[in-house]
Amino acid sequence: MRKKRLFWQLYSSNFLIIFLALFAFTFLVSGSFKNILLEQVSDDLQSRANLLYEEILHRLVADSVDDLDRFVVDLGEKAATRITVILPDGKVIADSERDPNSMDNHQHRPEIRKAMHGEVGTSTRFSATVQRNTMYAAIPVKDGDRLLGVLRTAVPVHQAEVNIERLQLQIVLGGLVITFLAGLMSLYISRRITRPIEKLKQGARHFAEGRLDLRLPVPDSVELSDLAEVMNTMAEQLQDRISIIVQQHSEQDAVLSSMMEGVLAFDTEERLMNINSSAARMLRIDAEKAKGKSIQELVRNVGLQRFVERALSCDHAIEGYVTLVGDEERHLQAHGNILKDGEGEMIGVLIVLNDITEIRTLENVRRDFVANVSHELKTPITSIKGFVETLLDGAIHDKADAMRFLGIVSKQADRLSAIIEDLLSLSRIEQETEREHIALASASLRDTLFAAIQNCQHDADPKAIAIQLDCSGDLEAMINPPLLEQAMVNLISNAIKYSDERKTIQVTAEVTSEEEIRISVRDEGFGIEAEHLPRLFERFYRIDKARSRKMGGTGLGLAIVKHIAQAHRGHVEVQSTPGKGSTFSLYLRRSVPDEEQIPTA
Amino acid sequence: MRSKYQRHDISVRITIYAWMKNRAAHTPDLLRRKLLQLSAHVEENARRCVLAIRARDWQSAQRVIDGDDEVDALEISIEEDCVVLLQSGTLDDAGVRFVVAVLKINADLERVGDLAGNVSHRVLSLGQYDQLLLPTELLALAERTLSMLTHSLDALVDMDPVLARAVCDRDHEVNVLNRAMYDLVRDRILATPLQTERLIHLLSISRYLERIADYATNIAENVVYIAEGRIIRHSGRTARSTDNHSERT
Repeated sequence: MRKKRLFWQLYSSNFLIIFLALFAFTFLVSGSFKNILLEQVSDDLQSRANLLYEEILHRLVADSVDDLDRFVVDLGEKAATRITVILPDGKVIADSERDPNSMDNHQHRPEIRKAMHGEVGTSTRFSATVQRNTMYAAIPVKDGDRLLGVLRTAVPVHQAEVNIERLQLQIVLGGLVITFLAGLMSLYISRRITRPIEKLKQGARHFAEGRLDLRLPVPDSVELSDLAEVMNTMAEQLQDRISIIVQQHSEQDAVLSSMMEGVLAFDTEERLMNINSSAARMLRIDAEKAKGKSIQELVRNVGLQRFVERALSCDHAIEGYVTLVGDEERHLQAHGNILKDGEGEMIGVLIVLNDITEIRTLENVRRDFVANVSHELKTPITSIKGFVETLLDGAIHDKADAMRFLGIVSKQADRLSAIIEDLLSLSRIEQETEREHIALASASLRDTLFAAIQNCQHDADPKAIAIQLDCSGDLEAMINPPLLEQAMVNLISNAIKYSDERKTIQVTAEVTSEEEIRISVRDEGFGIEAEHLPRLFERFYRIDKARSRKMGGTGLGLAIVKHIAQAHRGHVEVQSTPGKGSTFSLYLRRSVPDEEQIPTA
Repeated sequence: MRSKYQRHDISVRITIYAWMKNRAAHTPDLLRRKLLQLSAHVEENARRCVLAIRARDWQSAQRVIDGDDEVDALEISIEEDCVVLLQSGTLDDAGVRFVVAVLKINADLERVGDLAGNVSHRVLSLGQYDQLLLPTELLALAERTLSMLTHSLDALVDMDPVLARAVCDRDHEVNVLNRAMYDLVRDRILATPLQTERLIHLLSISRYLERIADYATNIAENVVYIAEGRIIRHSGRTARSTDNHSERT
């Protein structure tokens, strides 16, 4: 069934009620009006008859028929009333309109009959005589107890009927006007009733659409205002709850996305339910598009696929390692645990990934360091031990050999001491940097750089290598001159070692920004392949072990440079093209704000 | 040293196989996911072998060789699943086409796995000439091949015919590089006959890589076949495939 609008229901029923009431009213009023009018006419007729009574009686008693007829005609004309006198046998003896002799016997007319019995008779009917609806009133004319005749008066009721019709028309017209006006009022009232409901409906629709911040207007009527208030309260509570949920959700999101660990949730069919930004970054996944895809589609990594599978088939937390093979290998530590819903039903697994590549690298560096130190120390000691044993075995007696062997022993002991010296200074710089013991003062760079070059000059001269210094005398930086000198010596002597004869080494100090000064050492040497560059500043990292040792390096020079840079709150960089040469750059601060913490190495 | 190349013993292979059996794919979607698993395996192996070439990292090479057994077991298992699916009679036209294409891609992936293993063996043989520089052509070839394989597998994951066609169009680049490697190796052998053995290893690597790229192209073609129902091999690429045959001989 088609639903009607409340407004039309209200309006149409109102209208119908008004219409019916008016209709009934009109019907009743016009009916009773007619009765009243006719009664008036009949009363009028009776009183006229009563007025004539004496005259007629007088003439009947006198039995002067002619006189009676004349009187009747005369009076009838004057009173505009038809007057008839009838004898008890029904014979008409006088009539104001017609000749009594030509008239029928009136004995059986209802009003006459009543009058014959001594009562007042009235009747309304069509008169053949006057051709109109006529009302008759008849009274008996008595002389004492003897009935002498009947006096009848009559008037046409036409006028009364016209009056009644006019009245009915007025009533109907008035009724229509009232109906129209009442209709308008009913329209207005219906509107007034339904408009607040309409507004409530709109408000509720807004709520349904989620615009819970809107409030319903409170209407005047008690029922509707209660309803509106209840709905407003409901909206308020809903809004509160939703905002709590949204807040919790965004908190969770924030927690998840700010986590360093990658978090992924898979359902029981290995499809992704949720992923945080770290995981998306680690696995190079577009988090937006990833939801709902299976692990096989998302990550082409067998280790992780297997891990998810294993996590799904295990009822306890599991741990494992996954290696991602991209441009370089990345090592992830993975934790997997089952996800359960409120009823304890398993809905999937949660995978937490931890990038441990750095840790692995650090572990490797440390392991390498221990291995390297042992190796570096062992080589000279083996050599020393070997030659000393040879000497003890008798070679000491051959003076020439003994001198040569002792020379080697001395050289190896120097090397040993150089390594230990470097190790000590490295650890000292490290420790002092940590404890902030290294004093930095604003000093001229040129003096320090010049001293370093002077120091290296005796290495450069045999190879005819020119060292050029480009540094303006007023350039100052926050430095520790002895440490900076050591770093520069290391860099310059490296440059000398790895350059052919008659090349040039350029030492430049320049201001690169408001806070930074760059000191660079550029050589025209052999250069370094790109793959070695990231590890170049690690302790004992050597590109070519044999060559480096032959050159007398300890493998610690660049590590020391790096630590000195860190002690100056700066950093080091290297650019190199194999075959063309390398540039090592040392970045220093021009001034150091007091409140700043020294970064620990 | 040879013992390191030994394959998994038979019990390991049986275990792997049984594990695969348990995960039989009874619907096209499961089959697809299994195929993606195989592709993950193969891509990882290919990446490792390129890593092995670039960094002369024999550990990576060894892992590729060790991992090839799993690839083989997975390949067999997928093939069996395909047969079961075809027999089931529940497939519509597109489904049958899909399974047929999966059969081909499966075989192609297995071949890529084998070739990655071959490359790794060569890298291990190269180990003794560690200090020498690799020609940039070879490194470029390795990068291109790897990127073609990755893209064709991406196309497989997303069933993306546009990406797949792009892969097919790149086959030519790899062929050109392989040709350049051939010229380079010939010239160097003539110039430095002492390095002949090392140079032949390099040429082999180059040829294996070129064939991996060919299989990547095949996979991409089959992706187009699944997605569009059209067989695009031998159409409009005849000129290139002939020159590629001449190089293989």
